[in-house]
Amino acid sequence: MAAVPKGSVVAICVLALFSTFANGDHEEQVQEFFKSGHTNNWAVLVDTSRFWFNYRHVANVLSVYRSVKRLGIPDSHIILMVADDMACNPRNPRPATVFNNANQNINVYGDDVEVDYRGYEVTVENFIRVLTGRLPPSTPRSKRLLSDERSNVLVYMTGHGGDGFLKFQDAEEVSNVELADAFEQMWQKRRYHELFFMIDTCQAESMFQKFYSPNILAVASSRVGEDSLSHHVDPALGVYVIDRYTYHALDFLEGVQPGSKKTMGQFLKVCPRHQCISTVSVRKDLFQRDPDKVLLTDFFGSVRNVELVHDTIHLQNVSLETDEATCSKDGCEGSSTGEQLAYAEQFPKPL
Amino acid sequence: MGLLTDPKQRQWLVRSILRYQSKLSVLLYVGGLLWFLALAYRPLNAGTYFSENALLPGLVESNLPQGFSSLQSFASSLKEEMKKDKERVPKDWIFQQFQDLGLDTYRQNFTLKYPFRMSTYAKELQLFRGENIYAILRARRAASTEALVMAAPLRSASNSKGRTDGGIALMLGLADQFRRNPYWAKDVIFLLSEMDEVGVLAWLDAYHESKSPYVFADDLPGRSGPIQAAINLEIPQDKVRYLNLKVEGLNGQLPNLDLFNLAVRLGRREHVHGDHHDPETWEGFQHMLGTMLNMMWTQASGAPSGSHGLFHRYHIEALTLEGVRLSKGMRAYSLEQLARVVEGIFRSLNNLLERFHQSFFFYLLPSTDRYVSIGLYMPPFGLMAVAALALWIMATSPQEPEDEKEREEKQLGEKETEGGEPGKKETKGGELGEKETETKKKEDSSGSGDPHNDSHSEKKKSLADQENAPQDLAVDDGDSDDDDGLELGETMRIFLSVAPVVTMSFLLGLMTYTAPHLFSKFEPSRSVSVFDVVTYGMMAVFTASLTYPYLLYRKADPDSEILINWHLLKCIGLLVQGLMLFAISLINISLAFFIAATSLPVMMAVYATKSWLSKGLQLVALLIVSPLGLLVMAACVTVIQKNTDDSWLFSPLAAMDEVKNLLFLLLVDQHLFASWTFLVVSLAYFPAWLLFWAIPFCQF
Repeated sequence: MAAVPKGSVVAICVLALFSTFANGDHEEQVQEFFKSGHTNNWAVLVDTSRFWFNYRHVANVLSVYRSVKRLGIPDSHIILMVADDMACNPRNPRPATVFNNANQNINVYGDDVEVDYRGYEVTVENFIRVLTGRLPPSTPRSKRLLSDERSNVLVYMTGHGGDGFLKFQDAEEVSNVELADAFEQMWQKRRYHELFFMIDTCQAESMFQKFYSPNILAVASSRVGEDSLSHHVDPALGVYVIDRYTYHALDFLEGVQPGSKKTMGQFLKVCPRHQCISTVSVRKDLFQRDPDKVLLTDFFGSVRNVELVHDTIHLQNVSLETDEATCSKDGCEGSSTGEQLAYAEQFPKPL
Repeated sequence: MGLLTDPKQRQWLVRSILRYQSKLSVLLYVGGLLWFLALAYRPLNAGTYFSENALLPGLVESNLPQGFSSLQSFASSLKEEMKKDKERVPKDWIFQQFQDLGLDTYRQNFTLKYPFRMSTYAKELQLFRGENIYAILRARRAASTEALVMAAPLRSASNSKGRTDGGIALMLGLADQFRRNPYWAKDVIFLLSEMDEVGVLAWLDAYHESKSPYVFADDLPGRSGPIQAAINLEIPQDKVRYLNLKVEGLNGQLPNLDLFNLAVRLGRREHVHGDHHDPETWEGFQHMLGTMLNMMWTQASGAPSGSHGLFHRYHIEALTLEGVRLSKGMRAYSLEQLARVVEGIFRSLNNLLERFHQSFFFYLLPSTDRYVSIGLYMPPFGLMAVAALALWIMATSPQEPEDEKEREEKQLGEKETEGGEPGKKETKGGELGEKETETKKKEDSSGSGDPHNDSHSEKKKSLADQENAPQDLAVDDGDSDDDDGLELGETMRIFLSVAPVVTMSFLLGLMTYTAPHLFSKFEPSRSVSVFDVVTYGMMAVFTASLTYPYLLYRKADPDSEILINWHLLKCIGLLVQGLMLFAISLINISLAFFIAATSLPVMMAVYATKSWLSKGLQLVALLIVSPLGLLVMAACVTVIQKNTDDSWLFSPLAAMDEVKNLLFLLLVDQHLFASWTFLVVSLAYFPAWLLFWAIPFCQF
């Protein structure tokens, strides 16, 4: 059993399940749940702004970090970039803590936070390098995004943005074109299977308008021309502690457990205009599945769909070509069995 | 003037301006004045707002304990200490308190050498010794690279300026609270200064290692980082009816508007606000105009309205919170309430990441929540000043040949551009040299044929043109067909006729500037105080200056008698006046406004006349707007302001005392704090005014 690849075990479980429940429309719906096609989850969580008065951005990103970690993505699969150290800011009346709520219920800067890129390490260059994997050889594994073509990646960004850019620190910015190109490189280098892009900043919609790579689902806290607003102040700290969109998104995530059947479709409806004041904007055209049939935990958790089967299964001549059920639409559907797959050239050859 | 513009196209404009010039200049002046005053009307000014988002004003809740018993105990013990000796401040006690709180507490001695000799006996009597106390609260988790200052003057119980013991108790109470908190990113320096501004000056000098000629400060035993902001407290212990925010600093400098907004916002949060909301009504407008003029009045003097004014010299934003003590009235603010305001201000300042740089540095305040920015007040002021500058030149030509008008138009353009960027020319004493270089250039240009039609070379000769044109006009009165040589001689002669007047007036200005120093050198007799010596001496200088036009004529040889061309004289006078006004307006708009509003109508109206009545009236009007006249007017206004409660009774004696007082304050400020109001008045305004003074005496 140990010699058998993991993927095939899952596939067999799935096959076994089909034989039990398969009938008509129901079968279609059920199939959707199991067609996510990913085997691992990654998260890139970025706070791009520094300074004490931007406390809320740090709280935003640390809160999302806490949620995805709770839903099962391990630290080794989370790249956390935090541009300023609020916990140690001398202005912080509660040293060594970061809170995301006025009553200081949850310290999101607890003992088990692993910040991968901090302070001035949070630059556009480092961010793009992490996404595309072009890091210096000396970079430790914990600071790399080691995803593959079976990875579902969550990218969360927060900071100060404008129409077509997101400011990093106080000196530079990443443009929406650069970001779209970075995602395209990821796609060509098979660094993701599906990607969920979530951004909370002013005019956030502009950041995903230029995306052109497949399998990206994107949500932004505001339309072009709109500001994203903060949610509330903690009068004891004297700063705004969280942004509106992130606050309501977290509120939704708090009700999600690893086994939850909540879908991305529900998540995308979070924070209607009367709550956010800005209009939450969604881009679904690049995404090939119906978000209403995609589990939230496909991106926010790291949940394998495991069903225990009590019957003994005899495995014979198991090989990947035969289990087409595990392939995703873009993967091996209809393809000939013996085709050799190869990675794309890192630098395209001149024509 | 662009090369591509055809001046002939605008001839109709020039002609119509010429026809209505006098009406137009009146219209411009009146329009400018009314527009300026109308800026106090709510829809014409703007609401204040925060530009600096690092301040986070008022977001944090007060950390002070309910009741704040330590503040109460500090206040009552200080009261006890003050009672022991009404003439002295319990400095040792205060020092001890700060030390007991565990702060780095230091003393600094300084010596003030009085700029004027006070007594015949000994030089030592001119020296006054003072002592500052300051305590530094070190920020626990930061590197002492930035600091904030909370200051209060040390005043004894018998001090006439009003007591500040409430402010000192408040500092002690806040120091006690501040040191318990971990959130300080900047050191807080508690500064208690003797002799109000002088002590602050000494301390700031020592802190920044600079020197003043009359205040000798000891080195500081302890220091912190660059100071980002300072709040000065002049708060009595009880019966504080409202808070007065004093912003006007030395030479009319103002703190960043964000700091003012911050103080207002936090005052509002604690329900401490002196100003009510002014509605869009006539009464509302009157109140706002009153507030704005009041602020301008204080700013125009160039003297700091509180100790905060000296911080501005070092680019430290500072203002004074003055608790106004009135015995009547029901409501009074408790020290605890005021402590919360000050605490809030310091919490916000603690959030600052860089110096104040976002909001306005040049503004006028018609109310606490409205402001008039430099962009709003400059156009009406420019209109007033340009009325004098531009239009006069056209008035000088009784009949105009074709090319004459072109030239005038060029001058108009040049005058206006000159008015637009007066910052380039500092009018301090450079005037004489300027005039002389202009003479040389003029000679060059008039010798080289007819440069005026050559539009390409005109820019280089713009200065020469300015000088030339009015003289040419005078020549053209006779016959425009004169040949060049004759024209040159005539031009020279006319210019020479004016040169002595201009030179004299500027020399007299220089004399006035140096006079106080000279007078103070005289040994004063025992019966006459130095105040009187200087005041009467200045008046004597002024009176002597008034006779100079008469002297000029007496000295002239009857055969080669030169007739002074008063048109040219007036033209030069208006130029000097306009330049000066624009230069001042960029730094101290209030001073420029008051000078312009009073002097310009008289100066525009002055002309040479043979009628004794008209001459007399002109001279009286000129005397009123003379520097001394303005000083007397200012003194009267001050006396009336002080006597608001006991009706309109006005005593000339009080006004006389006030004149002495104001003059002396000007001189003392000039020496101690390097205030330049006296310098500007004596070296720029007085000479300009003297030029006009000569005009009614001109013969023609």
